[in-house]
Amino acid sequence: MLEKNKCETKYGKSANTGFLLKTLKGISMVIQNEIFSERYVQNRKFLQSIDPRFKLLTLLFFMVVCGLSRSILTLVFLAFIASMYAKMSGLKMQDFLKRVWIILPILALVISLPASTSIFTKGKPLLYIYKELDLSIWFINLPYEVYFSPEGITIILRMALRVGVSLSFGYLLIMTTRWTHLTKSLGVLRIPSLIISILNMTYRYIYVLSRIAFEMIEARFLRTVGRIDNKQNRRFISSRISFLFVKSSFLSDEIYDSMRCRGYTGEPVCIDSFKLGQVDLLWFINNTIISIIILMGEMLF
Amino acid sequence: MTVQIKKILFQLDNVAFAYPLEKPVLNDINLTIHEGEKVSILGVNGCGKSTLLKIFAGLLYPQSGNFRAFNRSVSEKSFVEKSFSKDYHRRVGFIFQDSDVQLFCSTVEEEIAFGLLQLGLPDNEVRQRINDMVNMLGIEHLKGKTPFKLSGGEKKKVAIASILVMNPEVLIFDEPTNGLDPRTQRWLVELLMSMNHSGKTLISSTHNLELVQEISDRSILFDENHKIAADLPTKNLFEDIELLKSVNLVDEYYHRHDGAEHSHFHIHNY
Repeated sequence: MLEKNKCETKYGKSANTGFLLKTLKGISMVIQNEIFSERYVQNRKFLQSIDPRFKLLTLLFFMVVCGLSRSILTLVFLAFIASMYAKMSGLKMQDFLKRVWIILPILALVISLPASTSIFTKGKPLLYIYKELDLSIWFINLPYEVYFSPEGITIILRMALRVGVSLSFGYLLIMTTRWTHLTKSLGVLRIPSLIISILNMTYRYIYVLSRIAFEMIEARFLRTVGRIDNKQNRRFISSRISFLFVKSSFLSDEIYDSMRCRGYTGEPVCIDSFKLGQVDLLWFINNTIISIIILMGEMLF
Repeated sequence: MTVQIKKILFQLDNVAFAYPLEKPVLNDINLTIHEGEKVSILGVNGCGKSTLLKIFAGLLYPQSGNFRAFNRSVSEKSFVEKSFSKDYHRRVGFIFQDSDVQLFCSTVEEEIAFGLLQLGLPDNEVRQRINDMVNMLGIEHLKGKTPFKLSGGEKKKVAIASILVMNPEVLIFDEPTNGLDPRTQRWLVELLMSMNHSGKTLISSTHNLELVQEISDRSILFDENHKIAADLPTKNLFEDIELLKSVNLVDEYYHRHDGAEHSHFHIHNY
């Protein structure tokens, strides 16, 4: 996060505004500094140079492949490819790994942990939770033994990897493509212009609303003396969420009006006309080779 | 001597408007705006000024009465036709009070290009017009920047550029100097004057009474019943302080100083 250190020094320990406030502040800072400022888009590196339509199709293809793949090796290979693309596109690897791999894949792994036990997936015992236990609670007879099996572990590992790999390609797409180019590229997929308009409006609300949310937190900080208990913090957050919800309705009218004032009738437009170049040819050849390797990997493993 | 009769741009006959589940904000409005005029809309908060501006801008439609613009009756149905909608919004530019709602693109360049691209102009012409506009307003250095990181004055300049680049015939400003520093306010007043001299019609709504005389020849004053209380030359309106008091626009401390050296209006807050 671009402003993280500054933010922590300025508001962190002395403010003691609690976990919820810090999280909200963190989210709004990320939205403002990374998504809306399009800081990575402006680096003319590898993915930034690819035609957005071509890039969208390729990265979506990889996401589909990741969903269909049954081999963990293929998924690891795709994760490696995504990391390479992130590096070549000038993305900060620390941010990339933190945003993509730390939260959601691990959360998916933890949530799906019960699915890897012998209750749901039978197989060769790898690690026993308990065994030789003859117990019944109320009318339910507990299994005689419960253990993790390699088959179960493989299933949840595959699921977590799928989440991580799909997120990686999604992150790459968002971080290296201008929003206007992305929405224009969606036309290639025959996405109706109404859906694209809704996406555009959502993007614009997030920007304005994240700023308002951030200012509300700052205003609260300025009026805060001493510690505030968690209950009050939660009450503050919930009241502000409802306020933002009402505010968003008003803003939706204003932003839409301002777009209509400039002739907007629901069609996505952007200033750059797309042209396929040599770098796109290179991208195509490169990804064709990767696809062949994946196909061979799927057949062999 | 020949008297030049200027073209009527907007004409409102018995127009009324109310937001859903609320009392009417415009009541029995009758007025005409001619080409090249400088008009200010005055009144207390909530009297219907912004609603009237939005009707002019084709963003709201009267619920009763008749609204004509550019010699054509205008209603919600008129804007269903895309070509009419685009042409109307090209001819009438609206600058919002809050620049943030008007700046929604990733860069200043894209922001200024947005309207031109909606009009279907080719990319090279769009780029040419953007360059001309940023040079004219002295904001070349902002072209590649992200709008939300600009200062208030810069945001206002970009918002104005994004409208002016479409070369509208009518410029509508809702609280034009709101939140601007004195230097940027002066810059804006001079810009508005030069726009008017080049033939553009100016309609603005403001609470800045010092500004009104500078940017308008004619003032339309709303009362608290959402009706027009007066439609007078600006100079005459400000001579009638009792009228301004009767609509609660000024209080008993408001006065004007006569004399060559002290002819502006101000309010004592003590």
